[in-house]
Amino acid sequence: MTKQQLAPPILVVEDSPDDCTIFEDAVRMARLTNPIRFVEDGAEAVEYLCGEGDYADRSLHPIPALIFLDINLPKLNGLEVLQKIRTNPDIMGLPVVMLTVSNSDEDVLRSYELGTVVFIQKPVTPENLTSVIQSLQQFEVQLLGPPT
Amino acid sequence: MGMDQDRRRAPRIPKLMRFVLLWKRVEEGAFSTDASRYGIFLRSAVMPPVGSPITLLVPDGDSTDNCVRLYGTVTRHVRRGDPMNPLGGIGIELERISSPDGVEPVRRLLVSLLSNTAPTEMTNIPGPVTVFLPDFRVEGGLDEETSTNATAPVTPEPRVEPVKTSFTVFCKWRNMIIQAELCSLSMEQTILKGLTVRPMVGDPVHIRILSHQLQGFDGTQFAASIDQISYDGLTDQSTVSLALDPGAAGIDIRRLMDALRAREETAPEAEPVDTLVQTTAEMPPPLPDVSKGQDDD
Repeated sequence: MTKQQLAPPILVVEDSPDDCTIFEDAVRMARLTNPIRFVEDGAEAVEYLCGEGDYADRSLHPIPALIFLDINLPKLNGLEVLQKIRTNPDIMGLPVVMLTVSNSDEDVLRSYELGTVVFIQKPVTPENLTSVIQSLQQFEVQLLGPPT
Repeated sequence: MGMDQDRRRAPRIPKLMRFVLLWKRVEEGAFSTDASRYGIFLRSAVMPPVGSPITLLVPDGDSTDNCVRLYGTVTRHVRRGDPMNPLGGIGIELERISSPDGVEPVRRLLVSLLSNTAPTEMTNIPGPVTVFLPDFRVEGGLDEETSTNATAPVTPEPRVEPVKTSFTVFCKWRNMIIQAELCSLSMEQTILKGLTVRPMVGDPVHIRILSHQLQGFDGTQFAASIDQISYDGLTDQSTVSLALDPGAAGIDIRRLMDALRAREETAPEAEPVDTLVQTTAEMPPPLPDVSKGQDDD
């Protein structure tokens, strides 16, 4: 089995296709081998993370190493998803990076109260996302570089 | 480009030379990367804020007793990755050089630093001397207290003690907003605890004071640059020391210090700074309601 197959995925909860492309570029620039999984709304994110419905098979949909979570999402907003993550004992420790165009102190504070690792202001670019990923790698988030 | 040309009034000579940098009570090894008759560029773990007066000792072996001393002022910080100075460092404008043993040690230093652009002759005065730059004027005596161009002695500003506090702020680094605890603020430095990411030394940051936290400073932010970082593996959090340039911070730092000091005096029940540990990585208490309209974002 190769290192790439072992790498847990990065889950991106984002309803903007343009931002999804940027995430793919950023992960490539950061030379990570973790696969990226995209889900488009908050309810689907909770399904994935709890291994329910279409995501029941953990061998196909493993628990991610890192979650990028937009605040502004259809169905459940990002803060609601984060609260569900933090109250589920199986996934409560997962590192979550929040994303938003909002600049409100309230959103940022609430995200940190719910245990977000870091809060990113949109727009995201491959360069600034790479900075985020690299600064998180130093905190030993389970992200993997290229196979040796 | 224009600024660089202005700054470079004399050719820079690449020169690797070892110094000991003195700034306030800090003593730290440093290396020059280039020098001219106006200044010197240094790499050092310590980066005093722009405008700080500093002293460089030229060690004789391991000893700095009775050594040659250079006096100057920090004029700029260069971030790591800069095309001209990829390792980063500080630019220092030199004002004078003193020697307890006459002109000869100063002349040898200048020849070593400046190669063929060094002065070939300098007035030979026995005993302690001070050589003023950039014109290499020589005067007897060490004259350590007088600035080169000042007609009256410079009176140093009285030192303002740092304010110890515990105060939630946002540290904006690149496009990240990082919650942190401001635990100390002085005119030259601020210390933040509890960062959940590790930023890069030398990078600029903005510190934002949250709404309703400090009267008169709602949403105010000030600029600083990351000076040192320490990382606690147990809490997965960083503590950063930020260098402040009061002239470029964007707010009146002294007024902010006064406001923080007043806040501390009116909040005696606050925990001591040393016991504070930011716990964003721990499980937070449940919030009553996080439902938000999507129009908010």
